[in-house]
Formats: sequence, structure tokens, C-alpha cells
Amino acid sequence: MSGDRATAAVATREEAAALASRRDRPAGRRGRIPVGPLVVLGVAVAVWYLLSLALFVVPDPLATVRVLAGNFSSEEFTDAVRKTAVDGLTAFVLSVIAGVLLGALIGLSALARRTLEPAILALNGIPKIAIYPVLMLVFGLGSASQVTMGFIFGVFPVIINFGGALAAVPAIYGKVARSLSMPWHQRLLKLDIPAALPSLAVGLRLAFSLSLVGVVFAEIIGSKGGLGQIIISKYTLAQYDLMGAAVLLLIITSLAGTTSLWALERRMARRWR
Amino acid sequence: MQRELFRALWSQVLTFFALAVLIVAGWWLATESGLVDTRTFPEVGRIIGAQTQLSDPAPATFLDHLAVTTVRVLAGLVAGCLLGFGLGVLFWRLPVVGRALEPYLLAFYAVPLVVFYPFLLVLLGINSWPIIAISTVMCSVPVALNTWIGFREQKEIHKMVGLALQMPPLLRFRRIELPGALPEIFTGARVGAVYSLVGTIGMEFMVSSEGLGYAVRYQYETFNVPSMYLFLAATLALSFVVVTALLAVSAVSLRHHG
Repeated sequence: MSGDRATAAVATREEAAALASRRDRPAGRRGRIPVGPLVVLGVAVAVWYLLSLALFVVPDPLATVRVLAGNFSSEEFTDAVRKTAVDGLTAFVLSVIAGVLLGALIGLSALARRTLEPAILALNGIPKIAIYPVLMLVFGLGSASQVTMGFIFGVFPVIINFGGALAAVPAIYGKVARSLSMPWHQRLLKLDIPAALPSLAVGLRLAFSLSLVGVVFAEIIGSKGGLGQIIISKYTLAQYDLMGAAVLLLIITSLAGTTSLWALERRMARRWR
Repeated sequence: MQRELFRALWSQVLTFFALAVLIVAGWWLATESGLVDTRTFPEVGRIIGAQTQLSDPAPATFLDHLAVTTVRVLAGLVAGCLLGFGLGVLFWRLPVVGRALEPYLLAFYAVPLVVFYPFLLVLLGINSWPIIAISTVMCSVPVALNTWIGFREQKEIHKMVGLALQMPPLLRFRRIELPGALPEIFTGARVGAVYSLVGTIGMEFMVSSEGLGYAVRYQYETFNVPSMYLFLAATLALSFVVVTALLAVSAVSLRHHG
């Protein structure tokens, strides 16, 4: 993708460069314990502990983990986790389906690319959270408005990454397909889609993260439940240990999902590039 | 590079106006033909003539809210770009630090940073600072990553020219390394601008008593739907102006990049 094509597509470039640098490292370094990131984690926990001594609103790390473990199976937490997980996953799946279809349209049709791509890039550049009140007006406070918010957050990286990658498939692939007289569907399945898979994997990971962020954003602003709602209600009730536990759970869930998709992305990059 | 950026700039401006015209025309048709409920989607005329004065708790005009949000976004953007640039240079000069932080920076998209706002409220008070802090942090991450990549992926020939001319490190940084990294830094800044807007508007929704985000929420909660849409349109227009202005700055600043 050229530098000016999209602000959102930049994530792909950052991460592509990061992946490239990782691939360039000697093979012997893979599989080693990641000392640096663990040191950063240790420093972060130490800072958290120091902050908990200075600020009454920050519970200390050990107490937060203990509260989380003690409340994890409570009905309130279970319901909230289930709601956020179901809404987040629904938004993610819808984002992927719509993103892949629209991305394929933009990537494979020059006419669609010329007409739709500028609008998609322009819409991606706006703070989507601003339209949440409109969703609440249309769908009410139920899950539909949060899922729609998550979908709006998550669909753009899939369209941009998949569409951009399909459009950038090297011309030599087309020549190979023509010389082998491949029918269009065979070319799509054997050449175009595999070539676009690494970028699609980046889009999927960003879509997962952003769908969850969109759902939690929406839950904080206005909803009938979910982890975002727990954070806001515990803050209002000055139950800071429970609020901290919900924040920690949310961060662990987001990072676990993102890290899994990141591993998938690296596997795809190694296999197809 | 500059020609591509100018083309992107014009494309962005034209697309925005085309989208605006299409949305207004579609909205007008849908409301006039009775396709949609006008309590949820009021007529265009009612939105344009809507009341923009918020009476409670702080009487403020449309322009007051616009000014507050603009200042917050720009403060977050400038501070985020400075912080991100500093971090990016640090990661480049000390790769050990960069590699240690890399997984967390790449996973930044996964964490809704606004969940930290209760902590920031207690730390910084109920004023503009927690909003600017979130906006700054959200903006700084893409800027830091892109600055790091921009310096790291310099062309070998550029480094060799600097060494061959025995340029002092500071002069080499100013004349060769920084100009070489600028395209990536500006790309990061454009992503950062979007995140700065998201952080500011999102935080205004939740904690502020002024600004466009607050005004949209206030009008929604007081069932003043036409005014809500007017403030929403202003929010989207501000986003467009900020992102387009940054694209224009990139195009002008990169005029020597061919």
C-alpha cells in the first residue's frame, strides 16, 4: 500500500516492518524466554504497586488479582464477561464477513476501488464513537447497539487490509494464471487469496481488538451490562478493587485474543510470504 | 511522494464533500418520503435550525464547545507527536528498549485505554487534563512506532554519505536521518490524529461537562435530537479538518521528497 492510501492501513506497515525485523533475527533466538518484555511487565507491576500506595483509587496488584479470583465465578462477573464476549465476538464475526466481501469487491474491481475506496478511507478517519447516541436512538440500550458499534470499529481494517492486498497482488501472478489458462475462480483461490492472506491476518487481529474496544466503549457510555458497565458502576459506587479487577480482566482478555491472532498471523506470514 | 500526498489530499476533500452531499440528499429524501421515523431522524431543516445553546449545567454556545474540543484535540495531538517522536528516537538509539516494549506497543489497539479514566480523574482532577492525557497517549503510540521504523529503515546509501562526509552526529541527524524518516513520521502522525480525536471525543462523552462529545451526549439525554445531530455533524467536520490539515502539512513538508 502506498503511504497516502490510508491512515488506518498504517498499522499494517508498522506491523509488517516489525514482523520483517522479527523474521530477520537469527533462528537461534526464537523460542528463548522474552526477557525484555518480562522486565517491562515487572516494571509496570512495580509502578502499579507504587501508584496504589499513593492513590486510594488504585488497588494494589495482589489485592486486585485476589478480588478477581474471588469474584470471577460470581453471577455479576460471569454475566458481564459473557455479555462482553458474546457481543465482541458477534461484532468481530460480522466485521470479518462484511470486511472480506467489501475488501474482495474493492481489491478485484478497479471501478469499485475508484468509487468506494476514497469513501471508506474518509469514513475510517472519523471518531466513530461520536455516532453511538444515534445507535442508542435506533437500537436502544440492548446488545444490538453495542454489537453495531463494535462492527463499525472492526470492519474497516479488514476491508482496507484485504482489499489493499488483493489490489497489490503482483502482476506476474496474472501472467502465470493466463499462461496456465486458469479459470477466474481457480486463480482467485490458488493465487490471489493466498497472496492476500498475510494482510488479511493483520486485518483480522486489528478487527478483533477494535471490535472489543468498540463494544467496551459502548458499554461504558450506555448499556444494560458487560464489563464496561461494571467498570463504570463500580467507580460510581467507589468499589475500586472490583473496578480494578474488571479492568484487569478486560486487559488480560484483550491481550490473550490479540496474542493468539498475532501467532496465527506470524504463521501465515511465514507460510505464504 | 509530494505528488501522491497532494493527490490524496484532493481525493480526501472531494470525497468528504461528495459524502456530505450524498448523506444530506439521502436524509432529505428519506425524511420527506416518510421512509424513516422523524423522531429518530429529524428533517434536515429542523437540524439546521436546531437550538445549540446548552442551558444546564454550564451555559455555553456552540462555538464554546467547538473551541474546547479543538484545543483538547490539538493539545493531545501536539503532545502525542512530541512524546511519540521522543520514544521512537529512543527505541532507534537503544534497540534493547524498543524490542522490550514492542509487543506491548503492537498490542496497544487491543486495550480500550478509556477504562483508565477513573484513575486519571483522581490523579489529574475533573478538568481537561485527563482528556488530554488519554488523547496524548493514544496519539503517541502510532507516532512512536512509525518514527522508530522511519529511522531504522534508512537507506544504506544515506548513512554512507553522512559517514563519507564525516558529518558530526547532530548535523547527520538534522540533514540526513531526520529528513529520511519524515515520511513515516508524518504517516504515524496522521494515524495519531485519528486516535487523538477518538480519545478526546470518547472521554468528553464520559467525563466532561463541556466540548462537542459532551454536547452530543447532553442533547441525546435531553431528547433534543435535532441539536444532537447538529453537534454530531460539527464533530465529524472537526475530524475532517484536523485529518485533512495534517495531510496538507505532510504534503508541504515533504516537498523535497520528489
